[in-house]
Amino acid sequence: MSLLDLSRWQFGMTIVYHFLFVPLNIGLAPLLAIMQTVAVRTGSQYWMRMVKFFSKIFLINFAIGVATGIVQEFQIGLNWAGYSRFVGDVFGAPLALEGIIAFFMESTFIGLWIFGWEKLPPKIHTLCIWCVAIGVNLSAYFIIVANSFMQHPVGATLDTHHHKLVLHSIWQLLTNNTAIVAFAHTLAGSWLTASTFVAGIAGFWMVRDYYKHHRSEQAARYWRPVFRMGLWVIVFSGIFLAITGDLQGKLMFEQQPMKMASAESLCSQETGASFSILSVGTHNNCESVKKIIFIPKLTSFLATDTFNSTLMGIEDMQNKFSHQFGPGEYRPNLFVTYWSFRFMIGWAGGSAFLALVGLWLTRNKRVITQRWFAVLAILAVPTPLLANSCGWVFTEMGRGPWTVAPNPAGDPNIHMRLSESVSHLSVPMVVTSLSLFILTYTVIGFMWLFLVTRYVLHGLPATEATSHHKRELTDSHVQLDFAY
Amino acid sequence: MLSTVWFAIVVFLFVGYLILDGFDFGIGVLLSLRKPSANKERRLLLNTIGPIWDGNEVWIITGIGAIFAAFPAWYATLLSVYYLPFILMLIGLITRVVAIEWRGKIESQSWKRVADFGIALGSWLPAFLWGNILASTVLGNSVTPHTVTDSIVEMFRPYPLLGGVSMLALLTLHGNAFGVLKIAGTFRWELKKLLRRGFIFVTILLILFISWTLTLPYFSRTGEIVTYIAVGVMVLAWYGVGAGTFMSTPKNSRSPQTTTQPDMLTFISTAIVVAGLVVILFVHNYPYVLVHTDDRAVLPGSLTIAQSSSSHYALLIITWVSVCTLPLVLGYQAWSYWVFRQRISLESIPEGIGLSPTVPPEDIKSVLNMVGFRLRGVHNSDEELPLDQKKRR
Repeated sequence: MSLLDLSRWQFGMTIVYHFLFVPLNIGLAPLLAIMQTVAVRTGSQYWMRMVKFFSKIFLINFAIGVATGIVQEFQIGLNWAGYSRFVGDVFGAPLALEGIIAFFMESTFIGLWIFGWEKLPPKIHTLCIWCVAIGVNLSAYFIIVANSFMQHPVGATLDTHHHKLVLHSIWQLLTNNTAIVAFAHTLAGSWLTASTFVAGIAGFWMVRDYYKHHRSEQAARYWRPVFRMGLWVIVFSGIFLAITGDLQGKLMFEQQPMKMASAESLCSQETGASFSILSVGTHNNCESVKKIIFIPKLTSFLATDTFNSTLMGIEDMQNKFSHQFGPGEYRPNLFVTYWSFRFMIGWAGGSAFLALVGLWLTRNKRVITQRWFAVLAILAVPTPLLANSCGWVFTEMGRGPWTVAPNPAGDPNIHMRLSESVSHLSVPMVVTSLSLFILTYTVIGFMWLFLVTRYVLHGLPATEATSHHKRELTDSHVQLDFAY
Repeated sequence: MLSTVWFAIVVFLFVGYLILDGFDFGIGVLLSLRKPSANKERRLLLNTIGPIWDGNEVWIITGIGAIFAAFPAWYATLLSVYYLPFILMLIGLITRVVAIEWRGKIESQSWKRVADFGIALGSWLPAFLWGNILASTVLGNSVTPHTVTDSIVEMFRPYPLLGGVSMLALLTLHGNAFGVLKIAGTFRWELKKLLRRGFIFVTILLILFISWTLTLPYFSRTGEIVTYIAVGVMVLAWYGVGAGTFMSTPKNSRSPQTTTQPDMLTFISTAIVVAGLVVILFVHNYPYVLVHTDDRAVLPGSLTIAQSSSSHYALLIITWVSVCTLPLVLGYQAWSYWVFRQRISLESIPEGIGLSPTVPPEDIKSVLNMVGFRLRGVHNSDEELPLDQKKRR
């Protein structure tokens, strides 16, 4: 494998791995904050128990999110030094802001929240988890601003003398329409992930408690409020996801037509292009692609809200780019782009299915006692994780040979290829780092799975352990209510 | 010049990082040196940094982010030239995060051993490697950014090796001082004894390392002056460390208020010494941020502050944001330290609330049963207790 391929694998694997766990944190933190707020304001022991239950799993997940995230701040310089030099003036700022504004907030307040159940007044303690939730969601904004610059560069000018990009307008960078829509779409996906998680586990336990307590409907009913809450959040985030996804798709047709053409395996220009549900082809060869199942005119409609618009094809874009930027391969990996786009949408259907079935089966105060539902509930939990990954693989690999894609409406000289971006390291060096990451991530991945399964199967904590007691602090030898 | 201001901010962030996460590393090293069977001692050490270690670690994210934003060429060259040390450091940092958070989740000896290994890896390695990498930059690197690098060579030169060992030793002493400040009861005395023994050892290392550093060539008057001032401050602070360490204190103090002054003196002094060392390592080669040398001549490929700096506009933006947000950040971080200011002792550590490593067999059987795998001899529900009297395992 070449240096470039190895570096791409390393970056791709570490960042997909990171974003496997992060959406759950982004979505679960606000849910926990809401549940705790309700518990503190109404004195509800029920919601406090739910907070304690889900927070254990949240913290297991938060750790692996942070651990896999530290790498990211360094990786751009480690393996992509060429890119860092070229875009640093523009790209570095959102990353620094992410650290100063978001990471400090989430990390400081999480410590206060974990250890402060009895030390802090309940309202202040609840404020802490809100700060964590805000910090986690805000960090997504800044990193997406940075990534959106790669997809659709704005707010920068090219310094031809030093061959690097220079920040021209921070406002344009922060309000890049790509960033706004991608941020909203990512948040929606994260909330979908967390709500599917909560609803899936609650649904599983509803059935389990029914059987565990001699077919007791009352035991099953205990889980109904948190289950229904999860399902409704799925519905709302799902709708939000669809709307933002549509908007993002439309932007991409304008800003990165090659990416969307590949997503649809649209080889040549078409008017009234159909939406392909299934196509087959060989060896990434565009001409070999045959559409098997498709909906007529739908792609044109999704792109421009009109059924008969004309969309550029892959080969047309290839020719156009060759004329504009010189000979080269401008087509992204067709197989990956096409299938990751479809699987992103497909996997999200898992959550939709859970919500539809769950809401129907619990209508009019019913509870679910069917055993197959427990299986469905658990199987639904990982589907949004897969959808998130497919979405990011799509948007990153679909960017083709570019680390900074040319903005069709901007300065055509602002672009950068992958081959120019990579650090000049020796191949054995990158093989070493890649192996170390794979080894470390595999080990901690199995540990994560073990912990989450163990804690989900254990179930709710006992009621004594669920309130903000104010312990008498007599002397310095105070016993901690929580310790590692 | 805004770029010089940002150089100072980067130094400030790294000083803050190595003071704060530095004592986290020190505590981690001490933890790994306790007997494996002394679980409560290890837990006590871990919980001194429990509420604050995550916030401490963010200083490096912000520090590296600041280098990227303000000096992209420095960021790119530093990380790609010192590739292997940074990768090893990251592996250490990754394992430390999950080890600290997950250690208490399962009540099993082997689980905790594995977690302790993760904490050890993530404390020894980064502490050593920061000293190693920063010392290496003072010495200069022998490759340009455009050649294929082999950072192994850079790591194993004698001066950076001494730098790594010195930083590791100093941060362990610093962590030790923090432990003495934060812990009450019998264990504090154990740590105090360790501190006294460690003091001699670290003194020797620091004398060697600082003397060697003072023989290296400077590239400006500013670099030379700041280095000498920093050394002076370090020497003065070292007297503080010694005074605090050897001041005699009641052995089993139940009211540590009487011993807080010497403990606080020791800790503040070690913090100042760490600060001084970091300042020297960054400012020694002023105005260069990275020097490409070959037998003391400065070759092309070296980067000065001015050469690697971002545009004025970009620096202005991040200056404004920092001015508005850093005071707030420092404020709430300081508040979190204040909330958890009380000393803790071995008695403070409650029983572990982790789960047993194995799911009870009845649980597995009943779940399998529920989803349709009929197992012989297992009934569908085992617990007769109402929900709110379910026992915690």
